[in-house]
Amino acid sequence: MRGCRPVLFWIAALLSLAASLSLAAAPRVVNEYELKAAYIFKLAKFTQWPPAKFERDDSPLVIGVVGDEALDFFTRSLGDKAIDKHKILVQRLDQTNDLAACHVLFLSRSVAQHGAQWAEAASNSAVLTVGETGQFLDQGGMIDFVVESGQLHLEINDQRARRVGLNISGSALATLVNMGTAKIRNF
Amino acid sequence: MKSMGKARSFPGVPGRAALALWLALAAAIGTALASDTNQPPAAPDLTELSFEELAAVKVATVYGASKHEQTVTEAPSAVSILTQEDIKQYGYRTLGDLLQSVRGFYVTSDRAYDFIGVLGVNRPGDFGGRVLINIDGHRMNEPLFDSAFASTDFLLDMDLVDRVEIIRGPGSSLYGNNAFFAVINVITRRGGDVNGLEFSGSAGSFDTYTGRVTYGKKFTNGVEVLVSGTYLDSQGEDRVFFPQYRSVNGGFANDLDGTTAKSTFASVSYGDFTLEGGAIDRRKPVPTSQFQTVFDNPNSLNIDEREFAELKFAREFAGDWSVQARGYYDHYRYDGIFPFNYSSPDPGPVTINREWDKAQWAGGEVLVSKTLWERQRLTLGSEVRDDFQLDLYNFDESPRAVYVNSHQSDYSFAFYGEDEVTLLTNLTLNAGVRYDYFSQFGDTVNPRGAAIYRPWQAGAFKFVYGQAFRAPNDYELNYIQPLFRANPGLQPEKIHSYELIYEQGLAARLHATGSLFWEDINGMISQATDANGLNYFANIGQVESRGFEAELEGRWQGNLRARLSYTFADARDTVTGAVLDNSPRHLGKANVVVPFWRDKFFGGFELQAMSSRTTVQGNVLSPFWVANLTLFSRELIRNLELSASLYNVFDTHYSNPLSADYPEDAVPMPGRTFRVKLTYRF
Repeated sequence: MRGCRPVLFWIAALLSLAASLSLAAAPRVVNEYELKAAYIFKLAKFTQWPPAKFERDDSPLVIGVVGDEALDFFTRSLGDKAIDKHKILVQRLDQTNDLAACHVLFLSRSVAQHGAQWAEAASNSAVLTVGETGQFLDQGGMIDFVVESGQLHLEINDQRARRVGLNISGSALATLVNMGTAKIRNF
Repeated sequence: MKSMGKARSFPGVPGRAALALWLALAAAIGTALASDTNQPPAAPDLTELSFEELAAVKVATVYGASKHEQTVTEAPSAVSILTQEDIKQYGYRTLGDLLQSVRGFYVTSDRAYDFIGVLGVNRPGDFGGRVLINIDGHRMNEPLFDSAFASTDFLLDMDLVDRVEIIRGPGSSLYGNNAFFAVINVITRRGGDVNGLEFSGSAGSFDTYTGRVTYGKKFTNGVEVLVSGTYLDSQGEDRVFFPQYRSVNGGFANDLDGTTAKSTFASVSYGDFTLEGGAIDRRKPVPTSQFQTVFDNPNSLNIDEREFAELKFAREFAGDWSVQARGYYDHYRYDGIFPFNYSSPDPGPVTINREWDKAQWAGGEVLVSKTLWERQRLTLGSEVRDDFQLDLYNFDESPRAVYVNSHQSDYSFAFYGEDEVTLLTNLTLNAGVRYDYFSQFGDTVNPRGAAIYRPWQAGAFKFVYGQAFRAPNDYELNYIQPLFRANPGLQPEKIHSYELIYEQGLAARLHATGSLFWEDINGMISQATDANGLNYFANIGQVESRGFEAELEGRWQGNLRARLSYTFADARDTVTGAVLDNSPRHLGKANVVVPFWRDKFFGGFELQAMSSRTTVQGNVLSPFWVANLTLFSRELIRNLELSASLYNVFDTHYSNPLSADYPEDAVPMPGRTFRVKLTYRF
């Protein structure tokens, strides 16, 4: 076949080039829940809960997940992680009674029609409530994920978080807003 | 003629052995990958990235399944998405190359055009109108022949593709005509993705060279611009061998496989408005004796020109309303040069016959979507279109004789609606219907319903029933010549499609899909002959395709990914009971991308296996498999991407079936070829 030799040349050239280094990163496309899990982890890192919310220094940080679609990805992505001494525990949530034990509540799309009930149930305890419909803030939630053109955006109502004793770091919020990733919607 | 099939079977790779080999290889890759999950990650875990780095990570989404953006699990169909990363890492040169790697798809080239087959249906002689191809939602199939260009005649350079959504199943309830087996929605890169000036060049076998210049930018005032031009020049294979012409030039068609193509594409967007458009002019000599032309004649040529411009408006209003509107203008021109010997089989003078066909059309679409009571999404839309020029003109140059001279126009309009209701926490229903009216033959109504049920964690069942249609095109309606008459009663052909899809996320980043399908096609437009010996098109074909598909997909840390799929399709003409021509019962595909070094140096390997196919003349083409290999690197030198590809690595000899319009039964495909490519950004 014509053309074999140039290819071998290129392979050799590429292999030898592999020694050099550079900086830029490539765009990565992932499942939405892998990315959402990462954002929740980062946000939890920058959030302070009232001390009473953790029984001990090494009590787990519980992420309660309502609806099936996200659970598996969250467990895989965050199951072996920890923030400070708090191990992350991803738990499936079926009823609002179990909510008080959670630090973060994630409400999947398939149960979005119950968003207002869950937000209401969480409104008296220090739970960071996160949804993914673009309407979760209107239902009373604190953080909402919206996907536009493959890009994940956040809508955040940090006033509601403060009202239940949660403190999301201002510098983290400022970074997200300045990058155009997040919008603050306090109302 | 029967012996021809034998002559084309391949020593060393007999049919079943090839398939067995493929399965063994596939199994080996599968096992290797499955056992690989314990290795330390090569790229950082997402949770270790900064917010800035996270912002660069994108989510896999699909637009075309419901005409609004959804994640793949939400879509009411089995969807595959391939991205610019796949195009680079597997070295896809054309849309046809890319589709060849997709579950259930097989692309048949006749060295003039690529024809897209799905689920065992790709009859030789049909122009490919059973798949709809869109660029950014704009319909690319033209109205004269319904052609869905997917080869070097596709308007968009593959480097300008952001991603390709392959939405399986009947799509006429949203898209109307041609959305028969699948809708292929090609989404372009935006100016901001390019962010500067980009040069790309490639060189490959058969003196094939391409060059591209692209400028893209998102300005601070919000204006986003992309302008790009591509030139392709290929000598093609010097000699293409056809055994039945051994007596003429030893059976070789000489210097008739080249291609030249010039294409441009541009988009400008500001606020809610986007203006985009493109043009391509492709010239392709033809090594086959298409339409019984003289073999190995240097005049044989196909010229295709396709242009479009579209203005789009898309806006989300308060109260969860969204509105999209588009207006467009399109043009298509075909110029065919056919050298005939009218005294054939006796020797005689060559007469040049020309086909001059031209179509122009313009139209608009409005779509409104609203979320109701938080659990329902309603979409309503309407489309109008005026095909104000549909010209078919066939003549001999000298002595001048005109055979076809048809000047038609057609207008059409459509209304459609789709509703998505979340009934239970784990049950979503999706129903849609579209009414289409065409001035030349009347109306057609196409409903579709899907139920998505998630009984357990990471598992989803999708049951899809739908009808779809392919309208008779201008050629089928109006190509009237001495041997061909019109059929005023010609109607759209219809498909009733039933599909049960099961998707399951498995441990360790694996995703499995299985589906059962039953496709029932009625009134397939086929050529018939009446009592007076005149040919005409009629709704006489009845085809049924039944089978199943399975796919396993894995993505691991560090960008290691693999896909493995198998399709069994039993596609038959239900009138005769015979298996369709050019219909492989088994299709197997294996794809793997291995990151050799960080996010910078990759190897992409693919295997495509196809079982035997029958030809129009009743011969059997042997099963075969083809392997492709690409090495791709970026940022080893700042702003530079390099790749080297070998196509058909093992130099497999195989042929594709041709239609009854050709004296040849099949056309041999190229053996091993290579390409090297370089892209530099300023």
